[in-house]
Amino acid sequence: MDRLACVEVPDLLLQQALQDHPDWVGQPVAVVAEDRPLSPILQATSEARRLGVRPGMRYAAALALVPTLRGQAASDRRQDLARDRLHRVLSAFSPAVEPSRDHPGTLWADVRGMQRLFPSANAWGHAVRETLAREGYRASVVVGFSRFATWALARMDAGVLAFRSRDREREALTRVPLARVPWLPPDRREALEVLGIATLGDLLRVPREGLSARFGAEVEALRRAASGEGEDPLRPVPVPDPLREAEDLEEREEDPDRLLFWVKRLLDRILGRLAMQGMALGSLQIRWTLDDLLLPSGVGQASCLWTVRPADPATRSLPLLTLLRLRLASDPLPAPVVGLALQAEAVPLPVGQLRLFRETRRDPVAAREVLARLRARFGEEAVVGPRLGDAWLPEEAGRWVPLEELAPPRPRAPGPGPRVRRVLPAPVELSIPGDRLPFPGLPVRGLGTVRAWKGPFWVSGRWWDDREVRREYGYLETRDGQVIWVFREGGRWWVQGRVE
Amino acid sequence: MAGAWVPLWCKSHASLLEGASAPEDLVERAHALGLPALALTDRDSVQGLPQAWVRARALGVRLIPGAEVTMEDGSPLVLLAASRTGWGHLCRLLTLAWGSGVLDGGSSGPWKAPRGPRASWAQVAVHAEGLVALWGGPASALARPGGPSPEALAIREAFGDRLYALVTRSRQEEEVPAEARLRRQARRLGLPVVAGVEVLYDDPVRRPLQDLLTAIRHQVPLEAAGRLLRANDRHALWSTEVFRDLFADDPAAVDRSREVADRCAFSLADLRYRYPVERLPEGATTASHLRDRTWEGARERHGGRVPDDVRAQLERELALIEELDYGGYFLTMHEIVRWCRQQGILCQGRGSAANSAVCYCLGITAVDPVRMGLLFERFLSRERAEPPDIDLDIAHHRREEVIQHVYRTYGRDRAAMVANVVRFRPRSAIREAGKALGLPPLVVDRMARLASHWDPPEDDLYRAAGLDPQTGIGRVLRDRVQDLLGVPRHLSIHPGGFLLGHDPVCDLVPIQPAAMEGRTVIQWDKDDVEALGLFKVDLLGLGALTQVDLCLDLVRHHRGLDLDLSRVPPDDPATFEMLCRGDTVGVFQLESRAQMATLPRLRPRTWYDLVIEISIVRPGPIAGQMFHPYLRRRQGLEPVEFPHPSLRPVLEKTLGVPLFQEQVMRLAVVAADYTPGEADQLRRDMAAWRRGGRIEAHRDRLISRMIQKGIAPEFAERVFQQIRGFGEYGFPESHAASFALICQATAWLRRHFLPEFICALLNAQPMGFYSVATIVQDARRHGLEVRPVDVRHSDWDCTLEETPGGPHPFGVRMGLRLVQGLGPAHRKALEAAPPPYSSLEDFVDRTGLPAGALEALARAGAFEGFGLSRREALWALPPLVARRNQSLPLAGGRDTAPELPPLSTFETLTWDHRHAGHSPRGHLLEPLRPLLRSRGLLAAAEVQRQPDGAEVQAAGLVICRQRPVNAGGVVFLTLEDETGFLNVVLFREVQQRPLWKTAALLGVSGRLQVQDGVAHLVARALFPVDLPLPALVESRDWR
Repeated sequence: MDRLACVEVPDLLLQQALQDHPDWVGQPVAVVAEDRPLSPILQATSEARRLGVRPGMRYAAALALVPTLRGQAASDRRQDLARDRLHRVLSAFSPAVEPSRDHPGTLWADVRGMQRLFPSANAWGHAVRETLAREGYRASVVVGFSRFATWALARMDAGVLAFRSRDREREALTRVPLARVPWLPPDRREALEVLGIATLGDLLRVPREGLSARFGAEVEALRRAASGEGEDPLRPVPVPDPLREAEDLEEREEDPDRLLFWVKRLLDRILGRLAMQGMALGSLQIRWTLDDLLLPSGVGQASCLWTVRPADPATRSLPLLTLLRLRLASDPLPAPVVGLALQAEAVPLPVGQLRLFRETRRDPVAAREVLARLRARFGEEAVVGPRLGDAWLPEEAGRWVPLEELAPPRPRAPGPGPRVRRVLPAPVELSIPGDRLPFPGLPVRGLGTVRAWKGPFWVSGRWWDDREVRREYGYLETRDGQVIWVFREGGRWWVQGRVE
Repeated sequence: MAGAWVPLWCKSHASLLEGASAPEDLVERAHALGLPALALTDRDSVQGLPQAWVRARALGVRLIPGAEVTMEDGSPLVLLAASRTGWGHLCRLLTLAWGSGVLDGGSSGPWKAPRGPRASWAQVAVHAEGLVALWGGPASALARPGGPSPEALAIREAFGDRLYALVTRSRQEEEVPAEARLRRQARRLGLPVVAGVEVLYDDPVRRPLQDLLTAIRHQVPLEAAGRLLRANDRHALWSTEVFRDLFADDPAAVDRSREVADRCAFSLADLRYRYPVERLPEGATTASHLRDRTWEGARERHGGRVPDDVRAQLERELALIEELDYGGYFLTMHEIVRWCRQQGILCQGRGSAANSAVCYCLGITAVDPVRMGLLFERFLSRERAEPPDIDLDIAHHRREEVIQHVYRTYGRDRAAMVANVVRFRPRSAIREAGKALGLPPLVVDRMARLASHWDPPEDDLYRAAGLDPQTGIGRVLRDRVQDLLGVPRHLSIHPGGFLLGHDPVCDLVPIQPAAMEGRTVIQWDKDDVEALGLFKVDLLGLGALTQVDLCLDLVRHHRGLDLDLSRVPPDDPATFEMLCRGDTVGVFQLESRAQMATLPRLRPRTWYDLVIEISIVRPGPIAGQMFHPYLRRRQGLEPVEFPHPSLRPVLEKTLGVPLFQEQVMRLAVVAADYTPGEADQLRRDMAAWRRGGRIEAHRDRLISRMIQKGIAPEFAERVFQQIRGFGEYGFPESHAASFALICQATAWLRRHFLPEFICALLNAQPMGFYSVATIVQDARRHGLEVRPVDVRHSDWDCTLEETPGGPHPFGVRMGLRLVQGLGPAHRKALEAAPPPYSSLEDFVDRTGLPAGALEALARAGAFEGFGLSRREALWALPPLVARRNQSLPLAGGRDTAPELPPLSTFETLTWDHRHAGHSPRGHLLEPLRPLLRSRGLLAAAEVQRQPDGAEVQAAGLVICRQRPVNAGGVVFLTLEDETGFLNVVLFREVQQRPLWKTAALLGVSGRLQVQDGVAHLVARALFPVDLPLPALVESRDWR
């Protein structure tokens, strides 16, 4: 194989965390699998390690050891973003880059022909390393001949290494400790270390016979890889294409129609890419960059972020533009626009049986479209549905929650039902002196004279937060036949609702 | 106002994770409200009744015993005991509901009810006699929309007019329709209606605790608990006025609560418990047989002639035992001890029983109370009218045999183990309250880890977890943790307490399955059993007796000397010289850090000095400020003075400083004219002062009477403070004396039979203060040869091998039991194919051990005798195992052995520790000494040689961490290296860094404090010593 290079960014998630939180630099920091006490530490800064924190240790144990330890939970999304970023950076130095599928901080690059652009392989390595450093990543770069050898040596965190011959590369490889090569499960590695087989060189010295029978196929595979057998060729991967489009406008724009045409232009590009991937658009985020010179007073931000969700995953721009038009009409932008950026969320294309005949009068698709329009017109929180809660307090026993899906209606059979207790959106105060119950004959302003009273029923609780309640509930019936649901709290009477 | 109501449905803490008040609190509240009676009806339990009964008796409130029984359909039924028959039926019914397997002769064995206890309607009907049933509450079968099932209606017939419809109100809207249904059903069935409240706490302020317990019980956060929580705080005990107002529409139902109460005439005082009668010789009574056995023992103990003072004491004791009818109990203990002796099981009575000459003559205890002048009233008194408590220590490896003997002798229905109530402690309270309050798991976990096991959390702890204990959620958590402390969580088994009865125990108290497989447990704990005047037999396992037993066997086997405990010389100078050096690893009661540091100062010379040594290094004497005055007097630094000539006989043997409970009692008798029985009450109140402040009641009486007798007021006050200090932690002299015998025996064995002593100590593990590694290193420092595990020579246990020419005639060969990863099944395989083995192959083939066990042996170096290094053995094993199993291609293939690197000295030691928990080849720090020295770190022995006040830096393995309860937060560490131990004192300011809790190897710098030859390094700073030490070192941490 011709020369290739391995770029290794150790502890990628940890490095990313330090980039996200610059104030954490120099502090004990760890990446944990999950934000839970028993979750294992995955990566730790040298400051944390100096204080005794080790990968594999439980988060709680690490915190007991280092109370000031800052932890960040690992996230696949974060990791993918970081890997894509590395890929993009390295693509500027090589036409063929292959990110490792198993090790997020590892990438291989084809360095053939680079002698025309860089004085030496070493210089190429330093250029890559410095560029990554400018991007905020610490990396080591090894230029050599073998995919495995360059990777294993890059794991040694040695800065930049460039080998002139395979023999030198091989010789260096023999000194790599097994612990540095995340190839074997810990128990296999420990089994080898118990026998004093601690480096790749030690492994290569063990007779091949009996190795896999004793230690399994992984050890045999590692030995083969270390001896350079059966190495796969480089499989370059194109730079990932984000579902993002942006445009800086040459002149500020405030006309809604023209703005929609700008959006359509960018949106069509995204939808085209989605179509190539067999996906649809689940939601769209638009960041409007506003002309800060024309911002009205009181508007602090020079940009607005909107989210638009179509009723069903979209493959065309029209439904989205319709929703955006509604939004622009009801919620005009506070200043002219000088730029816009679109980011789409890709979702699988919906699959379903096409209907041959139209059978029902109800059209769920139309209903969803209406709800999408309402959301676009009045905002995300505008469409809600009722949900019963398991609680004593009326305001907790029934709640309005954002409606995610529209369930098909299930009408009850006609007939007399129970009486309905209708809860007011907010309690309304009653003018009854707080120290007395609304006994029959008591005149109540706005309701008339009380004919009958049933109660009190006590509800109290929530002592564990600052919303502790202590109420006496009851029903009062007025002379004109109204049944009012009232409660007393803090010496004052309130109407909670009515019984119909 | 019309007559007072009687709460008939009350649940206490004994309704686990439901009731929010202690049983006593409910009784006290009822008394304060002027209620004449109260029924305690815990959910499927009578566990709270004894405590409630004791309090009710004291306050004059009538306690109606009962229980809320959970029926097969999950609905509750409240049953009250109207008579003794009813009580027996209730206990049987609950025993059946819990599924203990006792009532079917144990044929089905105990089983765990999958949804908790459930009683069937048919079972209730069968046990209806003597019970009053209250059928009601919103969840009852009677209030269901469809009415009760036909099965449930069977109880109508069974109870007749003793069945009531119970209408409960707690001002909840949902109750209204349920009550209407219930009343409708009551009318249909002709049931009288009685009014009530489902009482869950004595006062509404406990409502948050009730909510919290509910959330914990259902394992949901409070925020999500919804209607699992009660709607309001109306489940308290109310005054009659409030209750009548609640039922203003039905006063007759309120009056009926009195009627029901009046029908329930049964009281726990009516429990006529009969102790099982031993098989007696023809014509003998229990009393005469006890006399015969006692005098026979007395003659034996005193060489055929019983001295007059002993005779007088025995007469006095026997008369009292006969008068109180406790003879059967003594005979039982005598029978158990005799059986143990016949079986060669080492046992010895401890505790206050050693105050009894009868116990001594019956062979139950080994201390002669007459010779020691021990106070009999500490054991038994007429005023107390409570059964005596005899604790029997048994060699722990044979305790199960004794337990099975008791079961065999009395039957499983007449012998049951006593419960132990597990309560919320700081850590569990923080975890559970934090979880229920929805705090982040990390915060809760961190707080729980930092909290003490026992001491209530202080505000600093909340702050350390990032919470403000004065505001917001921090305050809520602090208050709720405080509420939870001491609340029962579940029942477990007492370590050795048995309740024995003449009649089936399940007629006395319900029996339920215990967590331990095949065990059943009664619903009362030892305090309850004591409060009810029942006899408890305590069979406790003691590792030290196992150690002595094993040691005596080894001495017999290897030296041909037939020794026993009675032949240990009481005043062997060499033994005391060893003790004075604090050289006591493995010596019973004297091996702790504190004891080792005290021995060189106290310099014991007699057996009685050991009694004092054991008693003085205890929280009681230390808190009572007796420790230092005694030591100063003993060292002649302070004159021995008595506050009054009359007190000289009481305090003379402890140089004027009261050290024992008996002395406090005698002091009360002599100086304050207490009767012996009153003095015993004083002792009990001393033990309970933290709970109820009962000791304060004695204050004026004690002090004023002492002053009247001419004792200086300062001394009177000091004596009172000392009594308070004793609290829960003071030792009775008799107990210390019993322990001192074992202590002396182990010390003597250590001094004169070190190989046997160490070998027995290792085989008795786990026990004592130190790990195997520390014991081995200590033995090596004493010149004992310790040989490593070797399959060719090692037995399962450690054994002795001759070492001609060495300082000791034998060395210890470490046993295979120490190899990590080997268990009882492997032991069987090894013992079935004993040595000699011709080769590793022969060993593998003959023992048939699985690959994992063989690998464990290889790693521990047990195959080195075959000429194979550990690595070579590990490489060689797989094909041998494969060939034996004929399963892998390796069996027949070519297999060239590679050249594997040898282990370094340090690696060898770490492998030893990792795979056998110790190293007979050296101390882990030995090869690292040059490195440590280069960093200016001294060894323990070098530190000991420094003068008082020297500034030193040292490092060692942390083998023990201790934070005594009354040391003001000071932590004591014991560091160990190849030269010995080093005591380190950490004041609070040095504890800020948690290094002392976590580091296996710790560096300390500080000032040396040397007093009477005992050195303590007072730490100024702790630092990690960055050396390649794996996590091998086991520390024993103590309170």
